[in-house]
Amino acid sequence: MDKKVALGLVLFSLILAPLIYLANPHFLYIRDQYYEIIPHPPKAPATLFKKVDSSCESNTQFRVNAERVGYQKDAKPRAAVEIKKHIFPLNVGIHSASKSSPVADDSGIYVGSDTGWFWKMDFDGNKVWEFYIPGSGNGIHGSPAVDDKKVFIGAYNGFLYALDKMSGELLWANPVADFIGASPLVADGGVFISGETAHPDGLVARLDCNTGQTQWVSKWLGGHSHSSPAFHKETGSILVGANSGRLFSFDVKDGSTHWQKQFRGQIKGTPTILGKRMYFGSWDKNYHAVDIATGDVLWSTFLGGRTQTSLTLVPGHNIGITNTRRGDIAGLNLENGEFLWRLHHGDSNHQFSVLVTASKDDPRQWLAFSRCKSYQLCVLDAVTGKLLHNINLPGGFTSVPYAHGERVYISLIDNHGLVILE
Amino acid sequence: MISYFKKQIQEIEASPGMRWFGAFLSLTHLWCFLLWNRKDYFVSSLSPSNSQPLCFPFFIDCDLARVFSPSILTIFLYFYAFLGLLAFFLFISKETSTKAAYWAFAAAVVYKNVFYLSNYNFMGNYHYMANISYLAFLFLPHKKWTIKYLIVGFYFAAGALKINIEWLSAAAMIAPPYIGGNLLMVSLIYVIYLELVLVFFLLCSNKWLRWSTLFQFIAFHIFSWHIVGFFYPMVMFSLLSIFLIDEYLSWKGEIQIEDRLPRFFSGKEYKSIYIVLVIFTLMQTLPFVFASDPSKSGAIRLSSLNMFDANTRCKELFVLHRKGQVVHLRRANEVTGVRIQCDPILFTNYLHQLCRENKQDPDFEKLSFSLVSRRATEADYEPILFIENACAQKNIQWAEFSRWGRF
Repeated sequence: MDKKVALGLVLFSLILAPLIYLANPHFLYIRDQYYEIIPHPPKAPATLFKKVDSSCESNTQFRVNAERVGYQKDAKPRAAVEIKKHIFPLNVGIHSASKSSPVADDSGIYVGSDTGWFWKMDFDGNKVWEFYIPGSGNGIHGSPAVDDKKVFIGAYNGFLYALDKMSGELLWANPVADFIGASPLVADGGVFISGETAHPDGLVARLDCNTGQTQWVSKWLGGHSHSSPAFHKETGSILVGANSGRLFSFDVKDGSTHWQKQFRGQIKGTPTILGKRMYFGSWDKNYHAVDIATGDVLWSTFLGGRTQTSLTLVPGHNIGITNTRRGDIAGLNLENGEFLWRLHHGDSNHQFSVLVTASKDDPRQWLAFSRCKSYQLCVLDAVTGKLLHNINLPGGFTSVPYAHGERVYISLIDNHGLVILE
Repeated sequence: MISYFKKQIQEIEASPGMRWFGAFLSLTHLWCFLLWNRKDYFVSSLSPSNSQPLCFPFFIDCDLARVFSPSILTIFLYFYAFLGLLAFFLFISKETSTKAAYWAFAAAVVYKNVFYLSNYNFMGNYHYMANISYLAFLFLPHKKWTIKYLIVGFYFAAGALKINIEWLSAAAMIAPPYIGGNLLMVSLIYVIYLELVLVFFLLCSNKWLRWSTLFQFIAFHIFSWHIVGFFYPMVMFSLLSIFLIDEYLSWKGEIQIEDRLPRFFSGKEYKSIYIVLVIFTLMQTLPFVFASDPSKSGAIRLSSLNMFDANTRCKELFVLHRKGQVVHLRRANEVTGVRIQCDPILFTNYLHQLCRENKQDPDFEKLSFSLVSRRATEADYEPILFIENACAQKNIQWAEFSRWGRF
C-alpha cells in the first residue's frame, strides 16, 4: 500500500479516537428494550392549541383538595339516599385498578372511563360534551381536577390534557409519561401529575397550568406511581408514593428532593395531609403517619392486609376513615393510629376510599359514604361508625363517591354506568 | 439509447467476473422474496384489507392501487422469486447470452421496485444499498470499480452514522447481542474503526490486508445475524461477492489487483466514479440540511442510509375536532420497523387518510397533529412537527419540509 495512504489512514484513526471518546458511552447493558442511560425521566413539550389563562386554583379535584382530605363540607346529602338516576355505561372492566371518580363544581360533573371516554354532564347526568381517547390502552383511571376555566385529566396513553370546562375544547396536551393512572393535582399555580414509564419506573412532573409546558420533572421513583401527589403548603412539598415502596417529598417549585423514605410495601394510595402530618396506606399491610418535614414515621397501624386506600378525614375530629382488607370500614385515631371504631361488612376488596360529607339531616353530623358489600353503599356516622343506611346499587364500584349539593354521584364498574343518589 | 444499453452489456461481458457478480446480485431478489414471504409480510402489507397503509410521499394514495386479493399478491411474489432465479441462472450459464441475463435482471429490479415503492413499510438500508448497486451494475460505466467504491462508501457512511452515544452505548440495538460488558464496548468501537478506516484496505493491492478486511466484514455480518436477521447479512454477502470474485480471479492469475487509493486520492481515478461518489455523499448529507438531527426527525430518510441511529422515541398527538366532541386518535397499526417508528412520513400518511375519511362528515371540524421525539439516550423530547389544521394543507406528506409543519 502506498505510504502516503497508510499515513493518512493512521492520522484519520487518531482523529477518530477523540470523537469516539467525546461520544462518551457510559452504559453498556440492555434491559428489555429500554435502556437506562438517561439520568432523569424525559421531559416533554406540550402541544398548545389555545391559550386560556385561568386561576390555576383548584375548584375541586380528586379527594376534594390539594391535601387530599376526602371530605366535602359544602355538600349536604341525606343519609337515606336512594337511586335517582342510573345513566349510561362508564367502565367496562378494562384493568383492575380503581376507576375514575367523578368530581363536580358549579359548572357540572366531570368523569372519565376505562374505555377512554371523558364526559362533562349536567347535574341530571345529561351529557354536555365528550372527549375520547380510543387508543389509550386502559383508558382513564385517574380523576379530573378543575379550576375556574379548565379541567385537567390524564390517561393511560401517558398524556395529561387540559380542556375548556364549558366547551370541551382541547387546550393543551402533554405526553408526560408512557402511562398515567393517577389523578392530577392543581396547587401552587401549577398542575402536578405522577406518571409511569414502560420499563417500569415512575416520575412526578409539574406543568404550567395555562400552557401545559413541563416546568420540572422529578428524579426516578424506582417504580410505577399509582399514587396521586398531594401538596403541603407550609413546607412547599409535593408528596407521593410509588410501587417501589418509596415515599417522596419534592420541592413544589423546582422538584428537588426534600427527602425519601423506603417502606416494605408498595405505596399505591394517595397521601392525606393534615397539619404537619401525612397519612398513607401501604402494601406492607399498615397505615402510616409520617412527619412531613422529616419523613419520620410517627405511628404505624396494622390493618391485616394490603391497602391502597386514601385516608378520609372527619373535620373537627381527630379521625381518619379507611377500608381494610379484613372487610372493615375503620375509624383511626389520627394521633396514635388506634382503632376508634370498626364496622365489619366482609368485603375484602381493598381499593376503595371513603367520602365524608356534612349531613342535610343533622348539621352536627358527618356522613361517611363507603362501599361495603360488593354492590352495596353504606352510609355511616363518620364519628361513631354507626351504620345509618345501606342501599344496593346496580353494580360495584372502586372509585370514590362525590357529592354535590344533596346528591351523591358514583361511577360503577363492569358496564354499570353512573348512579345519581339523592 | 439502444447503443447505450449495448455498451453496458458489452462491459459486463468483457469485464472478468462481472457475470458472476450479476449472478450474486440476482440472489438479492431471492433473499428479498424470502424476507417478504415470511409470515405473509408482503401479502398483509399490500392487501386492500390493511387498515393503515403506508405510502411513500410521492405516491401518497398508494392504498387506492391496492386492489389485488391475497392469492393474486402471492402469485406476484412468487413470480418475483422466479425472475430473480431466472436472472441468476442466465448469468451463471455459459450457454446463455449476457444480454438475456442483463434484461432478466433489469426486469427483476423494476418488478421489485414497483412493490417496494408502493409500501413505505418495506423501506430499509438493505433495499437502499441494493438499489444503488443495481443502478450501478445496469447503467454506470466502469461498473466493477464503481460498485467497489460504492460499497466502501456504504460502509464509510454507516460508520460515520455510528459515532454517537446510541451506537457506542448499545442503546440502538434492536435486539440484545450475545456479548456484553467490556467485550461489547470494545466491539462497538471496533465496528466504527472497521467501517471508517479498515474498509479502505478493500481497495489496496496487499492481499493480506484485503483478505483480512474482507474476513472481518464477513465475520461482522455473520455475527449481526442474530440481531438484524438474515436479510441484511445476505444482501451484504451478495454485494461483497464482487471482492471475493476478484480474489478468486487473482488467485487464478487471470487478473491483477492494483492499489486504487493512490489513484483515487491523486485524482486519476475514472471521472464517473468521482461523480457517483459526490452524488452519494450529497445524498447522505441531505437530511442534515433539513434537520439538525435527522435521527430524531426522520427527515428525508429516502435519500440516505440510516444505520442503527438513535432508536428514537416519540409521542404523537392526532386530535380530531368534531361538533361537541374531541377525539385523540392513535395509529392502530403498530407493525412498523424500528427505523421508521418515529418517521414523520408514517404520521402524515395517517393524516392524509383521516382527512380523506372525514371529508364528507358534516360534524367534522378539523384535524390537528403534533409530534415530539427524542433519542433513546436523551432525557428530553424535542418538538418536531405541529400542524393545526392538517386537512386544510395541500401535500400533507411533505409537512416536515414546509414552514407550516414546524413548531
